[in-house]
Amino acid sequence: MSSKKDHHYWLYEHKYETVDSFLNYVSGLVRESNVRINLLLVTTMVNLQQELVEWSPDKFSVEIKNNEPVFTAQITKKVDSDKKITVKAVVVKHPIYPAVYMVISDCDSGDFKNLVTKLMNKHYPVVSQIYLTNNEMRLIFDKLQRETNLDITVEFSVGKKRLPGKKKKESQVTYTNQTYLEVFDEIVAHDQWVQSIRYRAETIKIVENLESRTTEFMGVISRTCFFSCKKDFSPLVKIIIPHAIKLASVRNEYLKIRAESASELKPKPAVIKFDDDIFTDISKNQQYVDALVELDSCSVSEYHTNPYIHVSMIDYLDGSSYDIWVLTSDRLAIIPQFKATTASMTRLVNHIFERIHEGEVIEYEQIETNARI
Amino acid sequence: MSKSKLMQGFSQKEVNELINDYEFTCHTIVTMENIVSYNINGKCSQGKKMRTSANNAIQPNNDVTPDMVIEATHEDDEYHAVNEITVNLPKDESLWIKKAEQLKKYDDELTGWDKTSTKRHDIMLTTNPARTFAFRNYMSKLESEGKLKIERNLAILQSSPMEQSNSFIFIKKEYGQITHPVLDNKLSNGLPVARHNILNEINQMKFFDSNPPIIYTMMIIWDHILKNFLSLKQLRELRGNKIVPIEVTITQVHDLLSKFAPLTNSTCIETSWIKDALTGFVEIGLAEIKSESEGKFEIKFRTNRGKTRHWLFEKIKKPEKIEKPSKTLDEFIPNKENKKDEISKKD
Repeated sequence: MSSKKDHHYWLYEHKYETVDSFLNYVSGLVRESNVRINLLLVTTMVNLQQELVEWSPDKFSVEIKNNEPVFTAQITKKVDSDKKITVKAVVVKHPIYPAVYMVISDCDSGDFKNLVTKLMNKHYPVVSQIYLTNNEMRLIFDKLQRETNLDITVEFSVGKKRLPGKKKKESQVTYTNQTYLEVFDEIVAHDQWVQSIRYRAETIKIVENLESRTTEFMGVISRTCFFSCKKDFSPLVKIIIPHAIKLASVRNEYLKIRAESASELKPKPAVIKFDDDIFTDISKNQQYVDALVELDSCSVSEYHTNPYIHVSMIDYLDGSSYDIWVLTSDRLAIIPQFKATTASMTRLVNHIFERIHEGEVIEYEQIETNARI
Repeated sequence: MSKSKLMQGFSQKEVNELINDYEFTCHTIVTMENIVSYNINGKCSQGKKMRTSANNAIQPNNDVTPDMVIEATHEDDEYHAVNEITVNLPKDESLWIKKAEQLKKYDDELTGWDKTSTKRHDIMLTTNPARTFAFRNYMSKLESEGKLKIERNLAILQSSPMEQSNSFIFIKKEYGQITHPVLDNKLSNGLPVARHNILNEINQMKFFDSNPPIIYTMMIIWDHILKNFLSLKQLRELRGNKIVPIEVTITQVHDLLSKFAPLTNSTCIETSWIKDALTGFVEIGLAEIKSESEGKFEIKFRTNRGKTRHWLFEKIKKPEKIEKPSKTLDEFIPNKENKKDEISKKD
């Protein structure tokens, strides 16, 4: 394969007429070189190229080359009065899901996080991240293993333990050589949420009674739909990403309907159902409210916290607001008020999954009460 | 104005209790509506004006507005009742005479029902379980002393929170008779209604026709109303911890806040409640009065990270900037006199 300078031309400068032709180039690049590709999925209802051209947040500037569906954004961030950092990223409109863009770069992962991810987050709520749950990440690994027929081993996972009532989140990097199934079982057993997992996919051969492993590809899958890969790009783009979008879009569609009902007299509640009766112990109610308060750029008004919970919340990032109710031991209801965005509802639901407990969004329905009187 | 005056009489504990009571009253009203609708297919109206007769012992030939008017068809006739819902009936019995007189006011050939009935209407009082027995005795005492006698059926109901794996409102008839046999039977046994099953209704009805605690209104306005006046550009400015001024009028806030009024009494939210709340923001340095005559305020909107009620409490203790307030914070907390008013809501 060509030198770094050459591949930077083909990755960032060359004009691709179709998404497929660009993705084919990246596949070849990853297969034939030691390049690590970082990829972030974002969702937006507007033309992302136009959004990036029209507004840049403080300290950021963006220059665009080429045009949708494949264009390059040169992102510069001022870090000091005389210091700037610049990275390039290719922004690709997903050919099947038009509201989804893939932002791709071979830059250092730290720079990717500080420039690419931060820039996208600054464009919230016009642009928003896509979130996966623990269970959905596990389903993605299931599919990856099934379709590649390779052995998936987790090199390390970054998890955070739910500590209701404690502001500091305890990150835990666990180095393992375990299968992904064992890792997810442990995560559930320790009441953690997964931030990211670095894995390798291997073929196993037995030669003269000795196990021989060959790494076919490796990468990272994260909760916020940040991915990376080395050695093979195809599994990421053909298996992982479509499945991640499919899983997340079911919940996003559900939340979109709720968000759009915010202006109605009786907006539609988003109900999260938990497997366990997590709200049975009312002495923990205040801890759950404290956990809600921790959502970035939000404030919470308490009307009632014991024995049932009723709070309202405003998301200052985009002016969405909600009433949040806990009236049964296994459900939490979020009701948008006046206006709410899908991006904000997605962010809130992800926060609840992270800080309180992972659950499933369900239709609101009346419950069998069986009151003891 | 001195700082000490601002602090005078302010009690967080009391504010918290008042907010609890206010929300519980809203939930009790919704629960009663649910019971009447589900069990006897009846209709409840809030804010419905009824007319007293010339013979009314308290207020002849006048309009009265019971908390709830109940109407249902029963056996080719109409069932009628009025229900006064006072969950925070004070312990001090000397304050009860107004409530007794209010009930007596409804003990009359009221007009204004949707359909006429051949039977007399019932009168109900719904209060907290700690007061039902004492209030029944109080009414009996008034009768035995010849001071006040209710001629119609008077039923005293309790409404109480009941917490199991689900959160319920439990309503039970403690004393008296309800002439609708199904309703009487159901309420004699007591009916628990799961709050979750009336979620949409309790979420919508945040106000009823009684003055709410000012902090309660301020929290709702801060979270749900003011953001409607912000553009995306202004919201992005908030991220830099900037203060974004929002100009609002009492009328604008009133129009939006009316979403939370009872469906059968959509005009019950009074502009004075909103004026009090916006003036509250002025008192603690979060707003300025722009035009008293136009009811125009400028809110200094900003990001508040944390719990809004605590944040407001802290600002009440230590206001950011003191403008010339038209009210003192003493009025944030109903004192004993206000409490008297609370139990004798406007009728």
